[in-house]
Amino acid sequence: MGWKEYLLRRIIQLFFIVFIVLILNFLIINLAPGDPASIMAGELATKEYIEAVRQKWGLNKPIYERLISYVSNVVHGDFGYSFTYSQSVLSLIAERIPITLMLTLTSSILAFVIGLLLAVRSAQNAFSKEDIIVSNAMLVLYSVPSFWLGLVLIGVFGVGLRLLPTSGMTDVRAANTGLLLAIDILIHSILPISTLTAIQIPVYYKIARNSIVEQSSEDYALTFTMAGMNRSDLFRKYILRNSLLPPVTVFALHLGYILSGAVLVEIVFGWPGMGRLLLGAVYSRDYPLIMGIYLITSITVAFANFFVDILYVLLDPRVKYTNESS
Amino acid sequence: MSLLEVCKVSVEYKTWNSKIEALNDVSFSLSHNEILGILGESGSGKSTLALTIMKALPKNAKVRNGKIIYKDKDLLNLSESMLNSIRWKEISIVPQNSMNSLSPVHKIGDQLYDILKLHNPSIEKKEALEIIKEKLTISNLGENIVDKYPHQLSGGMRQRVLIATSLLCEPKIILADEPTTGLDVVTQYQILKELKELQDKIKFSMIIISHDISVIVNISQRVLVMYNGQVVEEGKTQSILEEPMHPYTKALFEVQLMVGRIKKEDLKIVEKQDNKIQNFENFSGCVFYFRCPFATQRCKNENPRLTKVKNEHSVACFLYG
Repeated sequence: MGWKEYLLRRIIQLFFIVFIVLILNFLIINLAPGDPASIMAGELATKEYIEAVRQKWGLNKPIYERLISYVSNVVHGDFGYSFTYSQSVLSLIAERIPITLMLTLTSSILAFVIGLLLAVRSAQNAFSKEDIIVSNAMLVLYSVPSFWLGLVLIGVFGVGLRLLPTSGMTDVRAANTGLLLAIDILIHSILPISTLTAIQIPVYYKIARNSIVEQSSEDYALTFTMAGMNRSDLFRKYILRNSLLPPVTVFALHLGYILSGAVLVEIVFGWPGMGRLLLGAVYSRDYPLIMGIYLITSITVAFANFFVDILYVLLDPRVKYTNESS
Repeated sequence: MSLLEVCKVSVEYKTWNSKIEALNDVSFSLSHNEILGILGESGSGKSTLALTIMKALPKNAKVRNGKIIYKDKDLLNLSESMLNSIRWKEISIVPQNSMNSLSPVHKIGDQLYDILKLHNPSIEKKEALEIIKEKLTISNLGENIVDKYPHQLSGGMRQRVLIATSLLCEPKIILADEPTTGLDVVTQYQILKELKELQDKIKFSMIIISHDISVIVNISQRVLVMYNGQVVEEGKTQSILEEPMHPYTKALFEVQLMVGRIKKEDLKIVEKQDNKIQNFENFSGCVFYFRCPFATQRCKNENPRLTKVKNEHSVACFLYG
């Protein structure tokens, strides 16, 4: 009973948050400088033409009227039409989502797995030379900006070694189809995925390593050792399970940025995902598109948080979802 | 014939810039069905002693010399696998009570099952559950505890779970390391009573470690008083209770009996606490020298050995010869 109640409460909360975000997004963008009508009309447009564009898109109406109509449209599933693409915002975003996910989801999972494996290795030889070297290397990697790392990789593997393509998702000149196209896309994704993976590894590594080291010195580890359990069983059955909570939490929270987190890397590598779409929309003051992207992003962040809360209840028996006492 | 024989065990801890002697030539023996109390303040080496017997000392600790003989074998010289066959099955421990003495994210039943299975690899789950429930019941807990997590229990219940855990493989010796610390006095008394009843019923030897005189006096037949890593007095509980000899033991008893009437000058020994840490490296005198009200020149230069003063009552102090 408590479980369902909790879920229901959280879902209502979720809707409420998304609704507030929706309104805030609208207001902030409309307060920002720049006139979409004059940008759409072009540099050589006359005053009358700009006015006509403004009327056509309803930009001459007062802000609250536009807000109300926007909110009611969104509630009905209509995110509006992009000024610049003359296409429905929803379909534009839907086209880009899988392209971005290919980078972000793959790199997040890779980073989580690699970070965790390195952490296990480091923690089992905690404070050894290897551990100290890896830890410090991770610290350096953590402070490297993603776009810089991307540029370095382009310099080394693209320009220097001429091994990998450096920009775009496909080779435009080749016009591949079928399997060849898939391979082409895969090759193009190697550098951006490596960049994104590399900058995410340190977070998982640090958190998991410290968590494992901490758990290894907990009292229960001593209890099981004294009970005659060997190190590998103890690690596998108890320490790992107890240590996983923090890195899993970070991973789940990170899922919130899965659509918007790769903007810089997408720009560096000319990857036609959400990031590029957003950048273009901001340059051209494409209000409906910007708001659409922001909204989708906010929804993913809110959902990731929701997901973490649920996950916590499942993973850690100490977290209760109601105030019932045992 | 004694069951466990600890001979001249010395243990030291290494820190990044110094060595600390935690145990110095500690010797004692434990007989069948005996309850031995080890009394001492924080830092006296009691817990180090328990960890040495379980061979579970932290990495920076080193056993300098000594032997711990159990069934003709020196525990300190056993291989890891031999050791694991003795741990819990022959010698088990009731760890110091804490929130995390068991894993917080596993059910108690599952954890106890894992421990049981370590020493009976072929045991069926059903049979194991029977044993676990039986041990929980004799430790005064309900059978439903198996489905609970440690955080769902009170401090007293958690302590009983730890006692049940130590009984799992029916060991010959149980070490109880501060088994009632952190519990209120009523629960403390109950748990001690239960431990004693258990020991009467299923017969095992026990070493009970505490800083609390009342705990030790209540339950043990023989007492070892430790100070700064050394045994300073040893004897039958009754004998020590009636006639504490070492100035440290005396002071401990006096403080205990003076609750509510302590005057400032009575705390002189405690105030001298700071001196105890000073300059131990090149000091060859008595460990209690810096706090002892009866200290003489001889105490400064020479460390008194534990010598029998009367029937089964020994003390390490020059006041007694």
